Amino acid sequence: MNASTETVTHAETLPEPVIQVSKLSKVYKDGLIFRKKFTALNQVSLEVGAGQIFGLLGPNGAGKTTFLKILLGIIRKTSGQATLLGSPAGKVAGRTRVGFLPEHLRMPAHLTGFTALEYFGKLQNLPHSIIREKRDQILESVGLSGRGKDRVTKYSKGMLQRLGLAQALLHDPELLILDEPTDGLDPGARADMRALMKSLRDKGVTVFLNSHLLQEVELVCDQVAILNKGQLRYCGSVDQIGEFVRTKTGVAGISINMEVRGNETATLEALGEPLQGNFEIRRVDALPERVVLSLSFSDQDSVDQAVDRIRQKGISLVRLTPSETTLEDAFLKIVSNEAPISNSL
Amino acid sequence: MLRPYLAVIQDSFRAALSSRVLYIVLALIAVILLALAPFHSRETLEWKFSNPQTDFLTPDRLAKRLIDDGKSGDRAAIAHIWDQLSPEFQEALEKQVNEPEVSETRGGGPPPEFRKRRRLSKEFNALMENTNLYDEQAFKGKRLSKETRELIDKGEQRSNIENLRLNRLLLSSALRRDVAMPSDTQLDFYYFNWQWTALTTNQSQTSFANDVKSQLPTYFDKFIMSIGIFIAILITASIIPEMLESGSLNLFLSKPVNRWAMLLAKYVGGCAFIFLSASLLFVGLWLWLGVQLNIWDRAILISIPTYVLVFAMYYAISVLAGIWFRSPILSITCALLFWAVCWAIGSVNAWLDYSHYNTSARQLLATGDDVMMVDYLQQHSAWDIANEEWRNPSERKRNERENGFFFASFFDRLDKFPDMPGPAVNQLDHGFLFADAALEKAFSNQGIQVSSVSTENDWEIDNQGELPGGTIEFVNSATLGTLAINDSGTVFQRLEKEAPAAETDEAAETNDDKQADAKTGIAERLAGLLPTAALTGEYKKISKTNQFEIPNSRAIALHSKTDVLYIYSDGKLTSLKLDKDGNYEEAGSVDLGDHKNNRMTAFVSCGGPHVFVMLGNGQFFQLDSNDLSVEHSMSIDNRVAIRSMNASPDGRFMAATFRDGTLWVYDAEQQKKYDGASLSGTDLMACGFDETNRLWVADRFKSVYCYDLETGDNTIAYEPTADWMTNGFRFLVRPLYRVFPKPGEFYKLISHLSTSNSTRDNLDVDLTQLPHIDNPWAPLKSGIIFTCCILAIACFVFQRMDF
Repeated sequence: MNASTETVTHAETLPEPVIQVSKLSKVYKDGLIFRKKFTALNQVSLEVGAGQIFGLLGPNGAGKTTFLKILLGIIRKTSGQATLLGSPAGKVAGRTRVGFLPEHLRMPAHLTGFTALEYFGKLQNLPHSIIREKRDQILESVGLSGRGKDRVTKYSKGMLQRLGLAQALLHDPELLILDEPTDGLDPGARADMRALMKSLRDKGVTVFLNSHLLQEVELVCDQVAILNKGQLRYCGSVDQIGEFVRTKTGVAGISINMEVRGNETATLEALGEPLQGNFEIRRVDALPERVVLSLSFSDQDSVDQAVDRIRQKGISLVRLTPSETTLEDAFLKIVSNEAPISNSL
Repeated sequence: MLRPYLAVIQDSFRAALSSRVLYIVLALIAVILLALAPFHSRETLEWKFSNPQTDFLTPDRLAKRLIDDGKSGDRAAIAHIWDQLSPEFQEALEKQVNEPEVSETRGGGPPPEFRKRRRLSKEFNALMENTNLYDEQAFKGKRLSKETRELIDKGEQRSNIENLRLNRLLLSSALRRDVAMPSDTQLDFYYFNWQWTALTTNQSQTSFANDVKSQLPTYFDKFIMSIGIFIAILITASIIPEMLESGSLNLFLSKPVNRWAMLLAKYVGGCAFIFLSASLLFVGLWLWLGVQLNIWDRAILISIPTYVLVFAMYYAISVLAGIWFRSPILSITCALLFWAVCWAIGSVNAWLDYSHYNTSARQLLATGDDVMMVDYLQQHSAWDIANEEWRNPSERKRNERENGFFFASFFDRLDKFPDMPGPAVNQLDHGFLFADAALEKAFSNQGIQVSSVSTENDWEIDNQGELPGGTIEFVNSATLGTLAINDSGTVFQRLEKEAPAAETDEAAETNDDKQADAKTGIAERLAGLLPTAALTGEYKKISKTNQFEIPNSRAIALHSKTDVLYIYSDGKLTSLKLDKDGNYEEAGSVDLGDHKNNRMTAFVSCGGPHVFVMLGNGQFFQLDSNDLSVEHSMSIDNRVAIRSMNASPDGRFMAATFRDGTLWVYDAEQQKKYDGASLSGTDLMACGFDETNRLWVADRFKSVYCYDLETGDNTIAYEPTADWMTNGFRFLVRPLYRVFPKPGEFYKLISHLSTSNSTRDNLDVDLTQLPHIDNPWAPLKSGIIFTCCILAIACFVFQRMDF
């Protein structure tokens, strides 16, 4: 199937999810006689729709790699269901349309760029003629043009990553799974990688991204899932994660950044008296002759009252902007909050 | 969908080609082959004295002859040769004769005998270059061989080598009895053009090639296989652990391929690489041996797949260990442990097998319900029915023979001990007669002691006597008593001692009567000298001095009813019948066997109207016992050497055991194999018939079973109580050995395969003289099964493992 020519349908009936996971669990048993159990995944359920970039986040040991390995059949699940492109996870049929770039990719030292593509392409059951036809174009698309005949031992880390990406794309997969794809890449290469991911998404390829770099995820992902200690803490769009966090952690409805001219004490006095109980001061940044406050209000009336009080005290209001919750903020809040959080929006 | 797996195999080659190890191995192989390549042989006419020990029979006598005949001129040829010798050598010879050297016991170089021979060798080799050695007058009237005459007739047209050959022939002819005649050819060895004279041999090319071929499988197994396999394991031990490194493993496992198939593809790739390396080495050796030494031996080419299979066994262990431990060091260690375990099991099995083989039945006799067995240590045992055990009636010390045989059997040299004649059923009192010789007599021409035992005397020896010197077989007849036959087929009959000289007139008169009677013929002879159960007494010759060349003691048989003797010798079966004087004379003969081997092993047995002959080349004949007409003949299918043979007294059946432990029963009436009784098995060692035509069969563990062939029933079983060692061997070690792979025994298969069918089917080949290869296919079968099992386990583990 050629993903570049496939059109993504926006039919009234949604396309089947590319990845479907329901109550997936994985328990490792360590030792020979007295086996210690370790739960790596605990009842994880999520779906990844077609034609999007989906990010899987989590601290070290959260279970992200375990999740990926179960999808790809590298390890077996303990319980639950998982499907990959409609086939049960772990089955060979499901992997025919999947491209995978593993973390810490290691290429056999005797390969060159071309022979690596040939080898992995044949493992994907591509005929030799097709591989030869596509190899130059693929290498060019990942920025390795003209390096096909070089031994991989002469490649830098970043070049190896690109070669790994090239072999994942060689057979035009429907689903591309990337495990820490920007690991070892310089900022320019990372930008290229992000652009490539977006272009693939635009062509209808689903990209499943596993990354530590929250800023990268925030820039490219449409949907994210956050795992912590084997449990799914969030699954939904990046835009709505802030709202999610606020809702689930009891933070007030409207967040505002207010910049005023004056000093901190006078400003706080002006705010404190009339608006008791209807707002929360989250942060105060005292700049020369200016103060920037980060405030949370329960409703719009409270915002208006706060503005009126500031003006009544003669404090000049320089700027009033809604404050955004960053992914990093949300992530930190989510993983630190031990209370179970229900899944996606 | 083979493309992915072929890609894995292709990648293995690619990896190997980029590996320095491959180039080192290939370079080593190339260096070895290049170093060997210039070594070659040339077969030429033998002219040289290259082996002083065998070229000169008696140096002192030779020297004296040269001096006496040379100086006197009585023998013109020798005188002429003497004149051609250098004065220094003439002087040395005179000194040798007149002043014999005293043996030096310490220091001083080689002993005198060796120096004499070496000097003779050197001088005579120089003499070979002499162009005047042939003198028509000197050699006139001398008996010269056809080849010599032809070379002489060639005259000036003789080549250089022919001149040398002629001189050698002349010298050997002139000094016959003291100088050995040369072989037809000699084999010279060269390295490039430099002749390696120390290796020159008077073997022919064919003989040399056969010698080398017989040794090749063993040397290949001990050196190339062992070292080569070890190197191959070292090279390939890291393949699986490297594959299992997470950075590459996750990528492989994410591909749409079956894990177990990918593992197998990696395994096949490793084996294929080793196959190529082995092919290079073995084909190179084969070509070198063939082109340079004219030894074309397919054993070398057969070694290629066997080498790869042996490697595959070790590699399977290495792969399984690699999956489990992910460490090349532990993979190698496990492979070495596997070798150690196989070696231990094989060694213990071989030792126990040998010890049980040596004490298993080689011959089996039966009379009534009594049986006697002879084992391979030539110990005789009789079954004590009451106590259910074997009794050794021999009064010799058991250890004496055992010690000698132990060493002989350890080095597989039991064949060097001559067969003991007999045993035989004592037709008069239904016990057994057996030869009981001390070890030192086994190689001598002295008389062999024969003893009789029976159940009536509780298997204690009740009579003893001495057979004539040179006896190779004795038989016992109800009418003739004990007959002894020597290796030329001359027959001797045991007679009572003549009465002592009379002291009284009455006694003298009685003696004269007796002597008169003794001259009158067989009836009178028998009347005065009835055979008894006693064994003492003289033996008298009752046949002419025959000129048979009897190959083995079982080639002689006596018909229990007619007293006709049948002897197989040099391709003929001859019957000897008693004449009116009671002497054996030839009654008839028939050519048997389509072979040119005049020492072909033969087993002859007779009963009723038939005589049966089984030859060492597998040919079988059923003949009429009266006129020796061939009633039926066939070749035995299994092409395995015969071990024992006996016929039923009524001649209805014949039974034979073979080296592979099988039993073959032949129905003479149907003229085909007998299928009646359940007699299958692979541990059957010897067989015999009793006087009621029941078949007795002994197995390897000294159990004996009796079968009534008319009904097919097993009527009697004698099963000794086995000791712990026998039980351990039978129920633990041997089954374990059979199941376990045998990587060190593939030389058996190579030997078996390289002994081509044309050799085994060649009727000139005596199968009993070929080295016996017990179950040559066992290493292959057990090896394949074992490798498949280990690979199956490895695939299962790999498939189920979480990485």
